[in-house]
Amino acid sequence: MENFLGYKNRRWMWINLALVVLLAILYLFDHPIGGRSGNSWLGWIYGFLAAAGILYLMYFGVRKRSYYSTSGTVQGWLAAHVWLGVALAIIVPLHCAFSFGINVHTLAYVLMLVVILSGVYGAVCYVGLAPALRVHRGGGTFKEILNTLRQVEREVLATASAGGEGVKQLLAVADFPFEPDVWSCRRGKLVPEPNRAREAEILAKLSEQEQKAGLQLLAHLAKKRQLAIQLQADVAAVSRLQLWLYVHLPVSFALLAALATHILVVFLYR
Amino acid sequence: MAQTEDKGGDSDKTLGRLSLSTLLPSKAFLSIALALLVLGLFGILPFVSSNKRTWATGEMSRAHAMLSNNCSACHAGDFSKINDNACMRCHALTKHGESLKDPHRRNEVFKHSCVDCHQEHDGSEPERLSPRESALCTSCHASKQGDSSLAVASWAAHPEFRVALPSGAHDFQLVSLADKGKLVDESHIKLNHKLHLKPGLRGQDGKVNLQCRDCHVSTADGKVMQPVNMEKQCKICHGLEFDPRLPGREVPHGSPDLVYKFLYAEYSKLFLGAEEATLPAGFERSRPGQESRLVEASKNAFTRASVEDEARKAERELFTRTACLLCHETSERSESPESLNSGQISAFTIEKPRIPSTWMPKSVFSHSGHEEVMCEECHSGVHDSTRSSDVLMPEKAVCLECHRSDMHAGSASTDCITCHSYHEPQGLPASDKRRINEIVKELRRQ
Amino acid sequence: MADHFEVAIIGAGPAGLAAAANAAQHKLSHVLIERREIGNTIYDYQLRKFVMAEPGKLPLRGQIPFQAGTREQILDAWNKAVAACAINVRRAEVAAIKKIGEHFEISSKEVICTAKHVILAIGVQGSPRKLGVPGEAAPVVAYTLSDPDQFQGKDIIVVGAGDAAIENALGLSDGNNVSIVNRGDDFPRAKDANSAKIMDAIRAQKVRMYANSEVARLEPGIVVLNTPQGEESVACDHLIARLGCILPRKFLESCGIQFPSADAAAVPIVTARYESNVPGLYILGALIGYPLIKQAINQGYEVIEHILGHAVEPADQVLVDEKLAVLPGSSAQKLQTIRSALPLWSDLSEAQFRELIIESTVRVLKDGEIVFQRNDYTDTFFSIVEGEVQIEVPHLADGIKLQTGSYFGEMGLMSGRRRTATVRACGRCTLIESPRKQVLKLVNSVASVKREIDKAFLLRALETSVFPEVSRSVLQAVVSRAQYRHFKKGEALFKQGEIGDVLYFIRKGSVKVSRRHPTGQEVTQTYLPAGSIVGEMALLSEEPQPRSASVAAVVPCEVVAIQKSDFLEILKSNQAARHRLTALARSRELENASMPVDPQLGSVLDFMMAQGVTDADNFLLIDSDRCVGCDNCESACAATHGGYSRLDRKGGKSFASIQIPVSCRHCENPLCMLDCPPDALTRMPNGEVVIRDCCIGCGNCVRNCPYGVIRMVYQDETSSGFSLFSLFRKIKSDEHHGPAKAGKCDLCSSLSGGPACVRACPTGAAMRVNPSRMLAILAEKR
Repeated sequence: MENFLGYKNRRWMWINLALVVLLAILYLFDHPIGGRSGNSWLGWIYGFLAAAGILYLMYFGVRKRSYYSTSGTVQGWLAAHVWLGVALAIIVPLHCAFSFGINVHTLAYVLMLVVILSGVYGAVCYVGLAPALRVHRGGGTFKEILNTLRQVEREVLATASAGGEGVKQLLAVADFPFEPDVWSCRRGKLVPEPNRAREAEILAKLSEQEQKAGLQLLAHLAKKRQLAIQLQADVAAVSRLQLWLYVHLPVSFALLAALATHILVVFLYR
Repeated sequence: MAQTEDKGGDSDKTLGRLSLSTLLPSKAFLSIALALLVLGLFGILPFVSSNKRTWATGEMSRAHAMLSNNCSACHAGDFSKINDNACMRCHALTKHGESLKDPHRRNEVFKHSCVDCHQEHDGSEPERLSPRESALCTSCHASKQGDSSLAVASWAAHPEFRVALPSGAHDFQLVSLADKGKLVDESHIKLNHKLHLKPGLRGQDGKVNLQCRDCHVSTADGKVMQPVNMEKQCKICHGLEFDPRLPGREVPHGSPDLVYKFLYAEYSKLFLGAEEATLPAGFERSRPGQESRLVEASKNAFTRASVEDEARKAERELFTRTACLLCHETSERSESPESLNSGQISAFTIEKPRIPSTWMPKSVFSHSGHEEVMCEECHSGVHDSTRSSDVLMPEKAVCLECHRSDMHAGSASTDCITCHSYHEPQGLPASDKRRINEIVKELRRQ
Repeated sequence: MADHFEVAIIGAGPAGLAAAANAAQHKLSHVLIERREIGNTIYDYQLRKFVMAEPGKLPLRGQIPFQAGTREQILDAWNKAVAACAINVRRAEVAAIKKIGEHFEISSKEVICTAKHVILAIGVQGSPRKLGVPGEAAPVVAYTLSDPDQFQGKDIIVVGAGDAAIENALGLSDGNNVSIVNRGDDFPRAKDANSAKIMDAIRAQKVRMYANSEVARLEPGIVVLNTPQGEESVACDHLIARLGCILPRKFLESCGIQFPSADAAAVPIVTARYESNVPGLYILGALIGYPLIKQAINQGYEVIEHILGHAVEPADQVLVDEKLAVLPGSSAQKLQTIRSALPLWSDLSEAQFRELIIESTVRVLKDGEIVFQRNDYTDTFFSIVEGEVQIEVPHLADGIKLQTGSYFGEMGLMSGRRRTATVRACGRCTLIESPRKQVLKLVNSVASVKREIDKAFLLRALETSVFPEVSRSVLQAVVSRAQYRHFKKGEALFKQGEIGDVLYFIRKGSVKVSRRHPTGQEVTQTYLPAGSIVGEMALLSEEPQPRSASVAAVVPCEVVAIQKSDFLEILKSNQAARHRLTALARSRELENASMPVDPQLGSVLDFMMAQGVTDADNFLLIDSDRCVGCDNCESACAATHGGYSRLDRKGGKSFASIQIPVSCRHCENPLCMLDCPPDALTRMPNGEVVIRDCCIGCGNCVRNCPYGVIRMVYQDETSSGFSLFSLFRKIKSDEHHGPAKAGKCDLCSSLSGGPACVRACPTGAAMRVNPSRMLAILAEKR
């Protein structure tokens, strides 16, 4: 991978893979009296490791904003963050010896899984969607595209108001409202297919003078369509790049709360 | 210029809707809200209420299920381990609680508490509640703990079994089954297993083939064999008739003195005042022409002396020729019969039999579970044993045939706990059962 | 019978007043003739205008007081001085001055007086330059503004880009709708403070500027302007034209004064005593090119001393003495020695030379002492007064020696280039080290200096890097025949297939080399920066040869053209050079033949050149395939730079999968450095171009940068990085600390760890690269 996940020859991937394999092997060779549990020696050690891991993962949020820090680069930290997160999804069940139930302890694990899965989704989005973002390839910012689109709309209106009844009819058929927001852009249905047959029908009935205006109208609307499609795609893509974080971040804080409760309770009620 | 300014406001609003940061609450807000929610529901709520189910790390075992809603039944909730007293609240009322007396507790070096081995919250079919692993025991017993005989690192390294053999008049001594020289069962009983197991023995109602179970009956719980009872198992063939003239009349199976007393009383009754009608067969008064010798004798001289005489004669017969001698080691007293208390003291003594009732007192063995195995599979020397001093208890190798860990389809258990108990379990008396219920009810109310 | 005086002083400006006061002091019979007011030019300033006392270092002589203050304060002081010094003032307008025998006759309509000596101090304000467009006679047009407050709520257009125009525009901007029409897009001739103020006002939208525009014509109620976008009509209640003043050349010539050339900017030549070619007729102040008040006052004082035969030291003598203190001998001697030793400055006027000395430093070096090292970032100019220096050149054991009268360090004039060689003193030597700005000023104003330096520059460049084996004499001949050419952005130097007959040495700018793809498309292969030669391949043999590639300017270029004949002569004169160049040409041919013409790569190269990458020393490149738009780079930059990001990611252009955000490229030839009055823009030892604290916020660099990477920022508190509060901190309020200064990317030179943007990018999309790595990166991405 020549992306951030493969930072420095996939260093963090190998390190975490080795860690998981090592811990799994130790787990398999551990046969404490009474069977494996989170309360055995190994269970305690793994528990501390996992808790330390979670705190390290949370610390990424601090490092990302420590602009003066020279400890590695944010890219390296992100690679470490992602791979450690994936590793923890396996280490925690090793810690509790796969005993789950309806309690706050399993809740912590479930929340952690939600965080990890949302993070993996985010990482996949980062790697996969980044090349598709036209907005970063000189397609203009949302503001610019929208302004251009509104400009085109104004031209359309001007052309229509200057024209006669036939042109106005054409407008009614070919135009479409465009009030985008993130959710409708994600649904991707804002821009309807043009009704070419009907447009041709109306055009045919127009006088030559009107036809010119009508064709100009259609040309403008084609541009509007193109801009709308671009904006819709870009807004959807950018939202995909951002939405997962609205799950990842809050749930990780909920995880912290659950984790703290878990640790407190298992020591309070030994 | 002016035109775009008019639309400026609209564009800004629209622009805002294109960005998630305007449409959704801020991530910081969501984080704090969600964290507080989790903390409240799963941290604070259980803390203040009595329902702490979400804090339990697993289901309670079925034995303790009634305590599920009351954490303080066991937990102190102050970062301390569960105190033994918490367990003892119920478990002390049993003889089980006498485990305070068990060898483990008596050892001051031994510092384990109940929860070190018995772990709850392992689900309704817990493995950890009563762990069976040998490692539990060998973790201490692998090295010699004082008594060198206690050093057992594993089942494979288990030393040869030891049986309790009578030693001296009152004691028993543990002798290893490997120690063939010392393996003599000085039971003072004569029994020839080989003879008894021969087919076609003369029995009560004709020929009989004796089986082990004809003499050895197991206890109600099937665990061990009851001691062989003479009246129930031997008398059927080995009657205690003492006088051919009195067929069917038997002495009781008791001490020699009791036997003599019985004999004396019998003859007394017979000779001194019993009605003819009551006389047993053979003791008919003489009819003209049909006088028995005995009656003749008695008619002529039924005195106390003749009672004693008969009694002593019968006694001698029993102790030196017939019944008693068959099984017991009899010996004649040194005093002359005349000097002994007439009618009270026997002229013979018997060596008190000392038959071990618990052959292997250090373990807990149960025949139930071994019903499918034939007796001679384990007690293999029985068909060749002619002397009762033979020790016919199975050696470790016998058990090893099934109780080994290298069999493909699984084996019988090889845990230490299988044969040795940790605590000394006893049955629970009914009154204690009632008390337990009351305690539990109390705990549930808390 | 007209009065007769020893001295007649015409013009009661500062020069005239000073002369009159000194004459009065010396009890010389004098008359001060003024047609309007005392200090007329200042009198015509707008009310309450703040008058500055430049140059600050210059001491003030004579009896006339002067310090920075409002117009009113100064006029007040001068009027008092006139009374105090008992100056003899006569109100009249002089029409002619005739020399009759030993005296001069001064007359307006009739003879006013006669005098033995006449001092002309009339200044230039009397004749403002006119608009010269149809409709200029309209009553709305004015050439002065006395009271800005007289206008309220009007649409006013100010034409001009000098101090007067600026001051007028600013004065009117409160309460009126003011526009300023500027032929350029900045205010280079204005004083720094004025320039800064007007730019501030334009930014704050208090004054609107029509840049690169001029007045086309006036029509009733409106003014039509020629703007870059075409003609634009602007509503106008008043038009104030401050286009400078014309020297009253006709009048002066009518007095017998000669001008050195027909050039409109020419000023009459005077001796060191201010005497013109007409004996007894002296000219002072603005008329001879000294527009500053202080200088005029000093001159007025001095001329009287000269007339009286007193020896008088120039006012700046004390400063000169200070500078030359390190040398032995008397000041006059020293100055003379230096002057005669340096033929480069021979065309400078005395005053210019003295100014140069005052701004320079005299350095005396021991044998072997290093003047500067190769790759140093110093940019001063050295003149050798005495002694010898050695320029270390790799292929010449003894280097190049320069003796008395020579100069070196001229590369530094080319805005911030590193020193290309180490220079050492050979034996004891005395050097004059002059600041770049000063020398540039002289290069731009004295033709001979420009010529000399251009020649020397070219010679040095050819000697050291292009034709190092060739002897100096041959090169000198070539240089003297070389022609300087300018190419506009995009203009072709030559096209593929043309017969080549000239090679170019790129002095300033950079060019791109492109070849034709089989489909006919021009595909860029590479670029060549300044200091390269291009086009020599087609000149290697006597027969005509076609060009193997096309070369065009990427940015406006200054090149030196060397003809084929000269080039062949160079080759003939030196076998080593011939071998080397032929081998070089061969290898290039081979490369061209074997390397495919790659349109995709070419178009990316084109894009990058358009973004100024070729100019760059270190530019920020964003890999669009990785960038997710999280803007952490901007946050990092803002957090480490007082809350104002020096990087605009979204503003940058992108092409294929490369995006180049708006961020400083740390150019080889920083255009921003071109016009920095306090010389705040400087290059650090590691190559970063940074803006130092002495920035005055004039905004020249903002305008000069073609990539728009500089913006005015406030020096707000720099955050200390992460804190819990930073998660919740609101956007900065509008309160700022201190003035706005120019801010741009400084490669985080003051931080350990390097550029914060690169370190903060989570996906590794942001890279700061040197263009030499550019091709490698592009190859990787494919």
